[in-house]
Amino acid sequence: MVAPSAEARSGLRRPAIAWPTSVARSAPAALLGLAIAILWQALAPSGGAVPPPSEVGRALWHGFADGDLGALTARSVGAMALAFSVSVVVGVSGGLLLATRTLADRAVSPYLVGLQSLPSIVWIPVAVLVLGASESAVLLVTVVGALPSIAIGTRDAVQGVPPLILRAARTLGTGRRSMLLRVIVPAALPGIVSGLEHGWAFAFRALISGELITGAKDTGLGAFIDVARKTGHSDRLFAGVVVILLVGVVVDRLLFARVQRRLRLSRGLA
Amino acid sequence: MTAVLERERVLHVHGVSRRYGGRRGLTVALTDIDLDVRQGEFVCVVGPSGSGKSTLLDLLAGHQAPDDGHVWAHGERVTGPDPRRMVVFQEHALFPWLTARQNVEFGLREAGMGRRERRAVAEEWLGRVRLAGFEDAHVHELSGGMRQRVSIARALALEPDVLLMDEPFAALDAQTRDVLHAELQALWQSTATTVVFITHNVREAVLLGDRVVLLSPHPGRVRRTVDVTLPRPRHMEDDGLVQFAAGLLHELTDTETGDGRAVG
Repeated sequence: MVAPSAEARSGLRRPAIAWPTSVARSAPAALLGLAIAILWQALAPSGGAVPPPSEVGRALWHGFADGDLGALTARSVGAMALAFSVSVVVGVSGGLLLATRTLADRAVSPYLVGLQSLPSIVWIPVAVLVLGASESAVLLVTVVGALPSIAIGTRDAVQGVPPLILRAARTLGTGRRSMLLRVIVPAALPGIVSGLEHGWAFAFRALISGELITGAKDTGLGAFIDVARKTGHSDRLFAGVVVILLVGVVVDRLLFARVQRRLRLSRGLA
Repeated sequence: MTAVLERERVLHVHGVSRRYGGRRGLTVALTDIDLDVRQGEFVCVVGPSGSGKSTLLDLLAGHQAPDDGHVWAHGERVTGPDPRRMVVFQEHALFPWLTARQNVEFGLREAGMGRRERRAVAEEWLGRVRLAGFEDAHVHELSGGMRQRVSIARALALEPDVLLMDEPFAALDAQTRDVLHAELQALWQSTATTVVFITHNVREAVLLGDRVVLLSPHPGRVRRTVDVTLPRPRHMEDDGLVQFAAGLLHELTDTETGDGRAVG
């Protein structure tokens, strides 16, 4: 085989193997992660403050196999599902109200914006004061964490619907109820989902912080990390962190990214 | 006698003015507008920017109310938008989350039509605007000309008394516009709808209209109404048409500068 000439090489370059796009897209991140893991493994002393990946991996395995990591993960996820559902219902309806009633918008929105910039952690002592160091306190903090983003996101999305669309709908004889359900919500949906994404991120942080800080027993992953720290099991601590990371990534990639892609594809936005 | 006249007059505008208060003070968009449109007519309203054409369309559609005078349609006062006066906007106002077919079906569903019937009507109309095969395309997959076709189909599917068109072809290239001109004329003749067509292009107005209403700007008022008796079908390059339009345009620009009034 003759080696390709310089001209041939500088011309149209085709990869030797045709990778499927999903592999091509995720490969760089995976490779980087692998490189970091290898480096970490090499540099971290065994039993030190920062355990090497091998020990974290072992702790992960044991945690799920014969420990309570699985159960606590389920509890965190369950708590998120419950709290987030409440936030979505209250937040979206609230956002719709704010978008359609100027008076309400003027009265309430400044507080919502303020709430959004307040770190959810600040609510934890308040919640504990009112509800004790309990699961309910954690749930409350989580709901409050997500609510402002969802409400504001919904309001902005609805207010951002092009007036021309509304005009066209009215000319087509759309009644008031149809207007909301069949025109405004579908038109605002990408923005609403973005608000939900932000709300989720805030809520998840609030949840884990709440579980960690309230010291309520066995609430979830936050509690797992807290116990690991107190008992000096740094490998378990990191294992908990990894699980938290994974939950966040999974929900984002499997849920929100997919929903957003579908929405944007049909609307020609992506 | 008046009752017969009212029935024949699908649209009746009398003594209408519309003013806007803005940062720069009061702007008079329209003043002292009288306009009657009879059943089956194709009326073109022409004027430069600032002549209040779009405002006039808004008033006819019911999106705005006049400050003075009144607007009547189908024998009653206009109080708001109505599917009997369907609008085709300049920027297609199609719903981007729906397919072409679903867009056309939308108004039909609001009117209470059943699913099977809606689908049939939508497909028929999409066929009539030459979009057969594109029923399931999403809006962003369609070209500008195709989107306007869907807008027209959506409007006509409701069998309105009046079709109000606000410079619908302004954003399209010349070739697409020519094609749509011919198709619009054919559609109009086959549906016997009344059309009010807003444009800034005098030749387009002469091409399409039975009657051309010329507006002058600042403030918008009716300068003159001209009947167009050129035989149909008409084409942009027809000598008679070109001359007629040139004459109108000449008159428009001539009188403006003649009055010493600043243009634009």
